[in-house]
Amino acid sequence: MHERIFPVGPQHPALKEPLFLKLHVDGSYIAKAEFNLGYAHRGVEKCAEGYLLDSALHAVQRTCGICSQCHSMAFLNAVEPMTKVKVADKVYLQRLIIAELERIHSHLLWGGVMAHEIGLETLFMYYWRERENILDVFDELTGNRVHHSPDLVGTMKRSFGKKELDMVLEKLGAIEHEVRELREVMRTHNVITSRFKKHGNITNKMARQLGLVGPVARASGVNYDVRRHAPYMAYGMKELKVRPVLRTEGDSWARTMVRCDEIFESMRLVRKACELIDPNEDIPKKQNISVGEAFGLGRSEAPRGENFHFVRVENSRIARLKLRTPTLANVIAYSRIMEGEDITDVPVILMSLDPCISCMERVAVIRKGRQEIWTSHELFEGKKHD
Amino acid sequence: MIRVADSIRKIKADRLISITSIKKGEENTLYYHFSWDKKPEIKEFSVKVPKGEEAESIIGIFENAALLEAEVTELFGVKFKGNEYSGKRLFQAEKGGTA
Repeated sequence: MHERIFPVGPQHPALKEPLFLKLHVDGSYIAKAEFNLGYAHRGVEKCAEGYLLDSALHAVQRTCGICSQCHSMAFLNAVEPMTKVKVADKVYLQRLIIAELERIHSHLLWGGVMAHEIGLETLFMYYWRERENILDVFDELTGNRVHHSPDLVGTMKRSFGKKELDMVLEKLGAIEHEVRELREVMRTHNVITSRFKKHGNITNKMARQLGLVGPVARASGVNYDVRRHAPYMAYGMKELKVRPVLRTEGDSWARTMVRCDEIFESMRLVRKACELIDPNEDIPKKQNISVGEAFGLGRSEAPRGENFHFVRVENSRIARLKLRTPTLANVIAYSRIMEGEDITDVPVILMSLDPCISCMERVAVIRKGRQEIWTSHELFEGKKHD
Repeated sequence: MIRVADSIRKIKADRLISITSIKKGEENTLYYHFSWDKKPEIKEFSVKVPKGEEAESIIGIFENAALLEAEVTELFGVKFKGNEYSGKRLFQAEKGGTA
């Protein structure tokens, strides 16, 4: 049998973001898989350099359109301790509400895309209909449906009152029953179980060796969740201790079920946080922050896993920012789990890892003398250099 | 070659979170960050790599170092001995490309 190369991407119906998979196939079986990145890189790290903390936060929140709050929280975990600002509990609780709603929204979005990949278009629409409710909540709470940007260093832009909190609880109540039904479909539908179970296996040992994170690792029995193991912000409150969702099968179906169940854990956390918030309390106003020379490390648990931010500050400005997104931690598993699978299972296996390519490719080097490259100032101001 | 593997092995961490490079003058400083599944701490290990020197790859200890080291090579020019990805294109555009 001849080995042939079958290209998938960078633009392909099975991919929602640009990634090039080079599959060495023997008949329809994959003998070897290689990936090629670099089709969506931007300049978040580089463009933040030289900017004040609040301006850099503005850029950091835009690393990802799905988990922007989790990037914001990782960045703030790194910089708030250096500013010595005392952050109010209400601010922490509000951040947790947005982050957990973001997890619900991310998992619902993913469920829809997964359903689309296997041809269940109606299920895709049901998933995205429920997701729309969460986007409405973001709109009400922050004024933005996607890049919420509610944070400032040490505080937030808005204080949630009774009206906002009631809306959160009402919307969660409205979608919970439907989301449970969608979970049942994912758990029992013949097409789903036959295409997901025992495909794309990641053993516990492999997950540990490769340092995988998030639902991908937890579906292989790796009990690693930053919210629980290194509690930050409101996750440190005893009422908001996270109960991790674990499975041991390690296949595409296990990853699906972990995400389905995490939605309900997030709903529990949001409801509890709404109970703990005093709607009449005001949050502190924006403060002028001054930091000499310092560096900080911050982590947060995004819907796809651990986010890590390394921030070095000199004279209140960013000297170096490094982001390690969860997809960069998980992308190394792609080539491993494709090997030995049938080519028709590629979309399902790929989507079961829930990749966020644009989030991963956050790095760009700005070179002078090349027309297509923007400077950091142009990126911030939206003006092209002439 | 700047040796790092033995020192890193002694840390006995469960996972490598990230490798960050900071360039000052002609010298790069590599910051390795590690974590444990059961402990909340992050352990930092740093090493200076003068211009023209190679660093030792730690793929033998943490397989996920492959891409993290490759990124440092691509953006800062620090090469890692023993990493097949080090030196290959990762995020940047192909020669002549505009990605």
